[in-house]
Amino acid sequence: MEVATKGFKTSYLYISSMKQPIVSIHNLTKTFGLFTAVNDISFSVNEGEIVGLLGPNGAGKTTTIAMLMGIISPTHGSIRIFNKDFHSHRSEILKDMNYSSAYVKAPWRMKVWEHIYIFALMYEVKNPKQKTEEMLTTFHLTKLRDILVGDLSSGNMARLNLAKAFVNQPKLVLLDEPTSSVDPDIADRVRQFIRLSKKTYGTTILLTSHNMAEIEELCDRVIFMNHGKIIAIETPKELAGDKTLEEFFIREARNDTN
Amino acid sequence: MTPINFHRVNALVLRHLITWPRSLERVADAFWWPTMNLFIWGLVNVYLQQKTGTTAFFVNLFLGGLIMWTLVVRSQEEMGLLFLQEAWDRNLLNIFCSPITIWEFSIATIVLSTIKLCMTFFWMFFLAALLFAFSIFSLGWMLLPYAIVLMTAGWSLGFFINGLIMQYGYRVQVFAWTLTMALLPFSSVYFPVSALPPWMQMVSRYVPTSYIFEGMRGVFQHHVVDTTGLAIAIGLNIAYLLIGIWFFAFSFRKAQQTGMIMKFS
Repeated sequence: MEVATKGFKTSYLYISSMKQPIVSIHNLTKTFGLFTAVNDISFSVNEGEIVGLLGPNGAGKTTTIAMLMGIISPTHGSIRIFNKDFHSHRSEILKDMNYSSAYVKAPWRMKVWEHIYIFALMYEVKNPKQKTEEMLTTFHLTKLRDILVGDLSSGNMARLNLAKAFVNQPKLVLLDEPTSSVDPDIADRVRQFIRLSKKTYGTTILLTSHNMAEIEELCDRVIFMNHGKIIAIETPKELAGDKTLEEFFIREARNDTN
Repeated sequence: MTPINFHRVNALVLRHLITWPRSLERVADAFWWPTMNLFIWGLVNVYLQQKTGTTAFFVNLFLGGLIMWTLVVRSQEEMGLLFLQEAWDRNLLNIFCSPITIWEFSIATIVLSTIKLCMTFFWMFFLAALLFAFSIFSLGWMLLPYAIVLMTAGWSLGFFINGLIMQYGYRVQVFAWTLTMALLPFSSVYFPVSALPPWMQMVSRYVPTSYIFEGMRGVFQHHVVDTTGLAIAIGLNIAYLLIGIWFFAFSFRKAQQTGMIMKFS
C-alpha cells in the first residue's frame, strides 16, 4: 500500500552532498542520585541521516532522547543542534524539531484533526488548517478526522502521533519506538513515510526500536548503547558482521547478563 | 529569557477551550459546586433572617464572602487542574518538547483560569441576584481591586502548588484541590480576624486575602474603604506572586534534573 504524498514540495528535495552535523553531543552524562543513566557519550548525526539508537532496556536511549528535547537536563556535557547550543537556544531549536513516541498519548477528548491543528499552531506552521488536512491525508486519517482521540485504536494513535511529529516539517525528528504496538501493515506504512520524508525533505531522524529488521532496513548508522555507554557506532551491516543485527543484539545483551 | 510568543499561548488556550465543554467534571467544577454552595449558604441566610431577625448585613457577609472566596479557589484550582489535565492526558511530553516555554505555558494557564473564573463569577452574581436579591456590585468601585487581589492570590497559590506537583508528581496532586482551603480560616472570609485565636491572628497578618475580606465587611457594614489594608494586601500579593513564580521556575529546573516530566508521560 502506498503512502500518500500530498503536500510534499519539490523545492525541499534533499541534496545528499550537503551533509553536516545536525546534532553534536559531547561527553554527555546523566546521573540520578547514585545511578548513572548515560555515561560520557559523544556522537553526531549528519543532515539527512537516519540513525538508530539501539540497546537493551535501561541502556539509556530514552534518557538520551529526553536530553535532546530538554525534558531532562544533562549532569555534564554539551548538546549542539543546528550548530547552536541547545541549552541557550532551546525554544528556537525545538521549532525545527519534533518527537513521537508509542508511549505518549494525546488529549482523549480532542478530535483527531483538532490535535494536529493545535500543534500546527504551536509550531507556528503557515496555513495550519491546510497543513492539518495534508497530514490527515498523508497518514490516512481523513476518515477519522472527527473521531475523538480516546476512541482511536493503538495503530491509529501511532499514526496520529506521527502526523503530529511531522506537522511542522521538522529538520530533525526523534522517534521513540514508532512502530511498536502497530500491525505489520501500519508499521510498513510508517517506514515508507520515514524513508519518503528523508528523501523528499532531507529530514534527519534519530529513532529507537526493538525491531532489528526495521533498523537494518531504515538506518544509515546505528548507535548501540548499553549501561549508559556507547558500545559501537557503525552501519547496520558493519555492526552485525556475518550475523544478523538481531543476533548481534542478543549476543551483546546476553554477554552482559552472563 | 526567550521572548513570550503569544501564538503558542493562544494554541494552548484554544486546546483547553475546545475540550472544556466536553469535560463534565470540569464544567461541574466551574458551575455545579459554586451553584450548590451559593444555594445552601443562601438558604441558611434566609432561615437565619426568618428565625432570628438578622439584618441584610449577614446576607452580604455570607454570600459576598462566598462569591469573593470563589475567586481565590477557582483561579488557583484552574491553574492546577490545567497542568494536571495535560499530565492525565499523557500530553505533557508533547507540550514540553514543543517550542513552548514554561512561561508561555504559565501565561496560558492564567488566561484560561481568568476566562473560566469570569464565567463562574458572573454566573454566581446572576444566581445570587435572582434567588436572594444580593448584588456583589454593592461593594461599589472597590469590587475591582478586591477581585484583582483575590484572583492574583489564587495565581500565587497556583504557581506554588503546580511547582510542588512538578517536583513530586501525582503523589501531591491532591494539593490542587485542598491546599487553598487551609488558607480559608486565616482569610477570615465569614468572620472578622478578631474572632480568631491570637496565634491565628498573627498568621492572618501575613495573608493578603484577610485584608480584603476585612475591607469588604467594612464597606458592607460602615461604608468605609480601608485603603491601608488594600495597600498591604497588594504589597503582600506582589511578594507572594514573585515567590510563587520563582518556586515554579525552580521546580521546573528540578523536574528537568530528576526526569519527573518523563514520569508524567
